[in-house]
Amino acid sequence: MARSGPSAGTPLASAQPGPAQPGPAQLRSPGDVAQVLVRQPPLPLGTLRGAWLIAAKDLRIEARSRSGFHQVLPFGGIVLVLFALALDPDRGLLARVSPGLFWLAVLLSSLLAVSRSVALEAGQATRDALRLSGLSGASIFLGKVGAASVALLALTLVLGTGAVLLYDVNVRGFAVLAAASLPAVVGLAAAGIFYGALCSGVRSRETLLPILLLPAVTPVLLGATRAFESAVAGVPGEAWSWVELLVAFAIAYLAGGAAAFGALLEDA
Amino acid sequence: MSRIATAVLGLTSLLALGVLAVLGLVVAPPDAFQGDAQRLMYVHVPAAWVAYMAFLVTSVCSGFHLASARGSLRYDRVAGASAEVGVVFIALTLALGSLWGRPVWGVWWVWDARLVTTAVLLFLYLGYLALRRVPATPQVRARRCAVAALAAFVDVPIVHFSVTWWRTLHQEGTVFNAAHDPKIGGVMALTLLVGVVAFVLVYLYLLERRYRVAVLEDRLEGLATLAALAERRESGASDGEALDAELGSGARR
Amino acid sequence: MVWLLADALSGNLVYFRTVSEAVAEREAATATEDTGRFRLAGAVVAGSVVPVPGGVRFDVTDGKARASVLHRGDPPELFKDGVPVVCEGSWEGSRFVSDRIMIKHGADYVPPSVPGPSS
Repeated sequence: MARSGPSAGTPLASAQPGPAQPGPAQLRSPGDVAQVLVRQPPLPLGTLRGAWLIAAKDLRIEARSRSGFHQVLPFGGIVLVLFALALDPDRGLLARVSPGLFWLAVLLSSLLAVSRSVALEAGQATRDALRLSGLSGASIFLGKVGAASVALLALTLVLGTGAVLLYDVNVRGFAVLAAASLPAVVGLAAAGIFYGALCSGVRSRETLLPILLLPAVTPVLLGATRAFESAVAGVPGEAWSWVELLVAFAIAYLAGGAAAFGALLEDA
Repeated sequence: MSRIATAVLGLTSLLALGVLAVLGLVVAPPDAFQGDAQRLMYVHVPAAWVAYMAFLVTSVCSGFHLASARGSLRYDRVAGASAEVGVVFIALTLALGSLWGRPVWGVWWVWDARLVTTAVLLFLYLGYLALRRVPATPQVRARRCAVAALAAFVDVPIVHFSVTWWRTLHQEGTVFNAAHDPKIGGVMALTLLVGVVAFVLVYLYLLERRYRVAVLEDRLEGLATLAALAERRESGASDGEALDAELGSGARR
Repeated sequence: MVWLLADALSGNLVYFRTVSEAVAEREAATATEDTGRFRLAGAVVAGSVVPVPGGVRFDVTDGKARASVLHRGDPPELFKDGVPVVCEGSWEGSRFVSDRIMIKHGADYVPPSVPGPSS
């Protein structure tokens, strides 16, 4: 695709200097088409602004298709129910182990949510459009993580309410619950998108993603569960070091994923 | 590595294992507290250390692969082979540790930090091995595996320091401990050293063999692709003839 | 971030409590609260082992505090005076009732000082 200086003739030329838009006569690949459709000249956007665009795109798609609402949420719900059936709900055990069961349900549901987020970029034209858009790998990663975090946060709220009701839990220490949930969800999303990128374009993604993601997020499961247990038991003071662990995990995967994502996008 | 060198390596490692067996089972004295069950230490500890080493080799090779612009797959093959051998050794570590724990601790397994992080390490690299089997072009697969290997290696220092950072049932390091004061001596220390040497030799032998298999696998994949292309070309040629025949008859009409 | 990690990791995966900690916890707990099930670690006080029907009674100490333990079931093979143990169970009054004992052996390896089978 030839790129000359800014060509004011094309209706899509931006006001800022940069590589020219391909005119209609130069459409030679799906990437060209995608770029024209996206109406976005390849600008070197700042990382955060690019991330915001990607996050907004993902969330908009989600809002229109509502697959998360129709598939991921019911999955989480049925997992909560299955746990209760497996563990004999009448023996008072459920309330004590409810934080663990809740976070296990969130973890398993996040597999679906992440898989869905990665599938959004599955088309070849979409990947080309992303690469040609001039957005850095870091901003695409952060954008996808942002959207996935919002989805997982909503999931956490709904499943959490469900768990409290189904498992008859006495909840105290809401500040701790909130302080723990946020980094846990962000960490889950970041690790999920990171490993999801490693599995993208692969037919066996549904079986590969769990075996990659689940061992890696054991710190999140540990930290979030223990923090929630402290909150439920009414001794929120102990939870703060777990919250620190969750924050450290989230930062680690955000940084690592942002650094590696550019290289990973280049393939396939 | 030449055939002779590999054979020598294999025989030497077998010999070393034999020496270890004699030392560990017969010559070394039983522990004053644990008795004969303690002899499992001479295989459990070297297996763990060699597993760490194998995963370190995987990470270093993965790093070199990502850093090299040439796209040669040699580092990738070594990384994959080393990870596979490492998984075997870490599984062996868990099994031997469990066998040792039953008579001494009284239980087969506990959920303390050392055992949990080691189990997670096993699963992290099982995931890496699953990623290696994904059908993709070798370059893509190599790059993704390299990234996954580097992410997985983070657990190795956590496993090693788990007994220092947290309270565990598993004892603290005998040789590598916070006080830098090895708590073993004499024949027992010698046996442990022999164990480490033997297991390193076994690792190198297995690594070499697995690398050779990887080279052959890649060659086979290349041959299969060529064969498929040739077949397609042939069938394409015969299709073309049939098409010509049809068009020819159509033109005649 | 390393600081965050180090701080987060350091006190928290408490696999067991020492005798002093456990006793302090028990004394701090109110009448209605229950310290729950946990693991108590200490060394068996020499001479305190008393077999009872269905189990064994003994005392553990961490050098500072001392607690009495009732274990239901058979103790493991290496259980004897002076051995460091980890007992799983909970407080019942001022006695710790355990259903599982694990021997926590140290990291040092010493040949028996007297030739012959080590006991």
